Amino acid sequence: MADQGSYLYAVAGPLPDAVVDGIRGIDGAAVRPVRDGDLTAVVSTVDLADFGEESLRQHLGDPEWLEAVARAHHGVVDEVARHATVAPLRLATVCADDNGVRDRLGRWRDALHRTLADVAGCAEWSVKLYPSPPDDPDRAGEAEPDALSGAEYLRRRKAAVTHRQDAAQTAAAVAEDVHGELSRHAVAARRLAVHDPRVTGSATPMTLNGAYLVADGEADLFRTAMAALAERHGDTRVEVAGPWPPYSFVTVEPA
Amino acid sequence: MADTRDRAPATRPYGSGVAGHGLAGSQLAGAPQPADLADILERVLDKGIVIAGDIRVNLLDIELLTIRIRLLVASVDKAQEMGIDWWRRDPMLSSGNGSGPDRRREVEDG
Repeated sequence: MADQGSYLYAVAGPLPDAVVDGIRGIDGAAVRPVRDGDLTAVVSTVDLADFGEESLRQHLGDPEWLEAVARAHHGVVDEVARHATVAPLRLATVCADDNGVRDRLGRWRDALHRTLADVAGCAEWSVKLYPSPPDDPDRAGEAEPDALSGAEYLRRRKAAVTHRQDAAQTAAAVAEDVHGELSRHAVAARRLAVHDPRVTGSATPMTLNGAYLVADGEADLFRTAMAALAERHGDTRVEVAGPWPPYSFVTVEPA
Repeated sequence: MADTRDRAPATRPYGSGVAGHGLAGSQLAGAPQPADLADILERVLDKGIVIAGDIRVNLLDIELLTIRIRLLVASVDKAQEMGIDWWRRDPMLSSGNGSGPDRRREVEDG
């Protein structure tokens, strides 16, 4: 087997050389177009010592390597997305050579055309919600139980539990409301898995990790809607990020 | 939806990963910041088209990795600070929270 492979970042329609000229990918390698008919794959050469199946498996467990490759992958996709509609590929899609790339383009032609048509003229926006921490009836149930009568302790305990449940229900309802409203301003919408609180560092769990495919011409409306929602739910922290290339909307779902 | 294909702006305002941009008056994260590693990892590892390459890590391994990544997506440094540096010791760290990862996987075709 050759010791180099062709790493795929994204697929686009017809793409002038000028769009990819000068872009650097993983390990600083020059990015190039590989064409089959009217489809263009955005590709760079990688060392199979790093991207062979076995070494890749090991590398993926190395967070520094993973971060560098993920950022490089995203950097290329992002740069091309500034100029053209792209369908990003998942990390670490490697073919043995450019003929392998053309072969994939040919075999996936129809699906790729459909996907590119779906996301044409759109970008992805990310919206995350975190409810504010509940206020402290919580504590009332837990503090100084010795100082309370049994009945009073139980009453407070129950109130605290109810309060927490109410807060959770409210937070869930806010997430529903926001997601529903934003979906109306989007071509497509998905709720992604929420991130673990241990890594978000937030005092309260993320209640919405929404991804919205928004037409470029509607982006201002989308943001206006988001601002109105943030106003309506003033005690919910909102994080908006975008525009992203449409990663979350080119996923090939199981049949 | 209007046909946007002909508009094809030479440059789209991509890539800033702007947090809270333009949403005055709400409790949004402050200054614009580079795209968050968590968001990038989530997208490049779990989203995007899967085209079977000639060389590809077994999807089950990717899934396991994705589960783990979900635990540390905010930042690698932070994960280390918090002692959840699973890659150093624990080969089978569970996802450990109720929400869990999105179990849907794409079929690998080809």
